[in-house]
Amino acid sequence: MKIAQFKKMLLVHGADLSRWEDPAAARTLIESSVQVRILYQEAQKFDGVLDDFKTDMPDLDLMLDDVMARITTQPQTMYRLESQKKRTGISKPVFWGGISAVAAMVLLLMTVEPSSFSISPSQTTTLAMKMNNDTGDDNIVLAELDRLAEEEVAYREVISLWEMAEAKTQDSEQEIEKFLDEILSITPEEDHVTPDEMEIWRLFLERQDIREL
Amino acid sequence: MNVQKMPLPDQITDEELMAAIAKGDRESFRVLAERYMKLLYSVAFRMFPQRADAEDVVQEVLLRLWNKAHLWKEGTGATVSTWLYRLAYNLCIDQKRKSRYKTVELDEAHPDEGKTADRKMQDKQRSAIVRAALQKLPERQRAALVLCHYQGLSNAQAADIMGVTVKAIEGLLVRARQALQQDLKKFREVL
Repeated sequence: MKIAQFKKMLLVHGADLSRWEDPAAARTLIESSVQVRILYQEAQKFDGVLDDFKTDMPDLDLMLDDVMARITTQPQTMYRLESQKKRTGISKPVFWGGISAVAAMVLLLMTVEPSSFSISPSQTTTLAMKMNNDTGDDNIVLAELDRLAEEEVAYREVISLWEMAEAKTQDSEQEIEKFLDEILSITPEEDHVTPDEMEIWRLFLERQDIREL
Repeated sequence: MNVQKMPLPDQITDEELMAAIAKGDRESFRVLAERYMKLLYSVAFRMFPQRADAEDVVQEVLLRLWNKAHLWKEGTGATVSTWLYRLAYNLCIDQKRKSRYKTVELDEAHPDEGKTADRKMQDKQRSAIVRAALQKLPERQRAALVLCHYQGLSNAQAADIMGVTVKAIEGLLVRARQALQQDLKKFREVL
């Protein structure tokens, strides 16, 4: 192991050698070089500084009692139904049908833009069908979208993300396909949706001119 | 008489508890919540400048655990702990965006009867300095550091939770540590 690599590993893993891929090599280097030893001691000190930030624990029992009371007054299935009603106000088929229409519009828009690619109507239909056939729990995604729609700050971020994505999609046909794949790959189970995927959802649905179509 | 012995809460696996929660078993929910609350709160507390936000996130994670336990499927790759961490991480990111203009609380009490007033004051000051520096980091850098350094998760686990590659986590950690080292330089005498 070289010193430059050692320095990088200190930044990646900190001074806890048990996290390193090759702790034995690191130890050998520490023992053989004064310079490395100083670097290591500084990293240990820095880790100690980070550890000065202690968690200020609240009364977790009290918090749990509160949650238990909430789930007792609102049984599991009831809670789920109520949250669905509160969050959406539209039915699943209507929602996914709407999304399919928007997706189809996006594809049609892309075909008329002066770029180097085109997508056939059959592909558009396939896309719409694929979205309609999604059988997951879309209410979770809807809940997120409802919440996000209320955020003005997020909206500005979405616009800039959209612009970035749009710039990206002008690169090549493959990029367009990748972008659409990313949209389609978002399963409605929020717990398996990465933040990046959620960002794409946001920019997809917040795009004002598409929504107006 | 054949008396069946009930397993102690510690002997029940997370997966068994999840299966029971999915069927509406409140006692299993309590056991699993007690098992993970402290860890989840530690993550949320280090992600937010406001304690109240961290508490909100933990409560929301627990409510989702109760209502969405049926969505967690054994054998799909994510362990229960990863699933819960991921829920907490996603909620932290959402909550963070809502409360991004709030200021850092620097004057929280850290009850510790065994220490002198001076020592307590110093500890409080050091904690507040590090906390403020951590809050200045971009959220993904902060999350990577919280999960890897403070929670002791492996880079691969953190990558799984944040939905990025291990390489990306390493990049985030490098940038986070560099930024913190730079930011904390001016406090060298206090720290």
